This record gives sequence, C-alpha cells and structure tokens, in this order.
Amino acid sequence: MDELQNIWDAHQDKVGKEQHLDEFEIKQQLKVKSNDALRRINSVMRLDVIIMVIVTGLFIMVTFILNLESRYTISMILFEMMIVLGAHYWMKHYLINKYDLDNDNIAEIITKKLKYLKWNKHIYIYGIPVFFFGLYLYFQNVWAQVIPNVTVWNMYIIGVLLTIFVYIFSKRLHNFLYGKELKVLEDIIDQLDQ
Amino acid sequence: MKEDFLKMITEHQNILHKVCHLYTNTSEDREDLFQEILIQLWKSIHRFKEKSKLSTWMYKVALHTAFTHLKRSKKHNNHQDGIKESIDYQHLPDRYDEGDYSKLEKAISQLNQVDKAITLLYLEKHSYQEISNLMGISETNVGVKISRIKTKLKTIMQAQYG
Repeated sequence: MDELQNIWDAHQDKVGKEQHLDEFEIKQQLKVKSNDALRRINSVMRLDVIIMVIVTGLFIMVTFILNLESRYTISMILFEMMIVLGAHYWMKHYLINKYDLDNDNIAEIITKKLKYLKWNKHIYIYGIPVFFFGLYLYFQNVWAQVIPNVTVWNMYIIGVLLTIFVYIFSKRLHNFLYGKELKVLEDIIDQLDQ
Repeated sequence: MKEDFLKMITEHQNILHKVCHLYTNTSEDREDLFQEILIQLWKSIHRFKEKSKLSTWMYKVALHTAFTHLKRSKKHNNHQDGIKESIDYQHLPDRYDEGDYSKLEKAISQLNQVDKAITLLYLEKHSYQEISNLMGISETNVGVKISRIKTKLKTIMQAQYG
C-alpha cells in the first residue's frame, strides 16, 4: 500500500496543475449546470403539478356542465386525488432537494433517503389498491347499473380482481419510477454494512 | 457569497477532480459529475456551519453526489453492483494508457462504490476517525475495510500486471 500511496501522491500534483480551473470557468460550469439537470427536474415537476391542477379543474367543470347527479361526490373524489398526488410531488421534490450534508454522515443521509423511498413504496403498492377498492365499493350502485343482473358476490369478485390488477400496476409503476434509485441506495447500504 | 464560494472551489477543486476521476469512465461523465457536485456544494454551502473541516465537508458532498450520480450514468458504463466485468478502456483519455498510476486507477475502478470512497480518503491521508465520521461506519469497520481493500487491490494488480 505504501507503494500505491507513492504512485498516488506523485500523480495528484500533476493532475492538479493540468485540470486547474479559474474562478470564471467554475462560474460558467455552475451556470451551465444550473440551467440543466436539477433545475430541469424541478421545473418538470412544477409543470406536472400545474397540468394536474388544470386537468382536475376541467374534469370537475365537466361534471357540472353535464349536470351529473353525483357531481359533488365525483368532484370531491377528484379533489382528494389531487391532494394525494400533490403530496406525492411534494415528497418527491423533498427527496431530490433536501438533505443535511453538514450534520449527517453519508450512511445517515442514504439511510434516510432509503427509509423515505420505502415508505413511499408502501403508499404506492398498498395505498393505491386500498383507495381503489374503497372507491369501487362506494360506487357499487353505479356498477350495478352498468352490469345489470350482477349478483352481490360477483360484484365483490370483480372488485377484488380489479384491485389485484391495480396492485400489480402500482407495483410496476413504482418500480419504473423509483426502482433504480432504491437499488442503488440499497447497494450502498449493503456495501457500508459489509 | 458567490465570490467566496467561487474562491473556495478554486482553492479546493482538486477534491472534486479526484472524486470525478474515480467515479467516472468518460470525460463527458466526468464533466457532468463535476458540475453536479458544484451545484450540490452551492446548494449546501449555506448549511455548512464549520462543524467539520471544509475539505471533509466537500468530500462528503462530492462522494454522496457521486454515489447517486452513478444511477443516472449507469447506462454509459459497465458498473454492476460496483464491480465491472471489463473496463471501457477505449473511453479513457490517452494519458491513462500507460504508467503506474493508470494501473492503480484501473484497479481502484474495479472496487465497489464504498470501497472506492474509502480508498480515496485513505490515500488522501485521512485518519480512520475522519473516514468513520464521514462515511458513518465504525473505526473498526474502516480498519477491516482498508485491510480487505489492500488485499483486493493487490490481487487485481497481480492478476492484470503480474
């Protein structure tokens, strides 16, 4: 290792001189990047939220224009869904932008992120199907009109099957959105624990 | 504030270059990671209360960024659970083709992410206690890991260069 240390030390002086950037170059790099990755992610998330609010507003408007019997109930559910999605975006924003690098060590920061992501995973995988099944039960009289002569038991069976489908979909969606990040963080924690 | 920050980065930029070299294979990725670390430092500087040395804090930010940066650039290189099946030598700059440092760097690049970080901190003469505080593992564990890393590097270098 002493030999490696000597090789390392000898090279660092050389690299330091070769790669030295002056203040102007660093300022440029900071400027370029701030218009790139993080700012772009944040602005895309803001745009997502704006679109979600507009779309929800439009749906609610349509229920009133069509003068639907259940317009208040549907509007309330859409509004609740908007709140849930809004909370999701807020958490995602928090995850990307907030961590205390001054007080916490690397293991603590990564553990906190991992804990948050796992909690978020449970919301996705279990919360969404439960919410869906609740909605299904709430609107069971509507389904009875859509599928005439259906027995109560068959309706429950259809509900359970649909909920299983939603569960699989939520699991895949979560894996698509956060799977890689979760894997990377879990790997680092494993490496730290080894 | 920005002037102080730029002055600080200019003086300590070697830390960023070292981390970038260790965690990337291509000059494009290296530049991307360098800029990413700059942003993270700029975003975190107001929270830096000098509880630790400036260089230690910069290493912490840089390493944390490098760990999470890998997932975005994973498709560009061959990292698989921190171990590479083969190194993309074609993308390495010409000056790394030869020399002892090149061999050392190639050997380190085959370590997992955490071991790379510990190797860097060790070679930069950080004490076990500093490494322990920065990484969040016990000093004993740091010692065990360094011992394992030495064996791994020796094995890799012997296997590749005799």
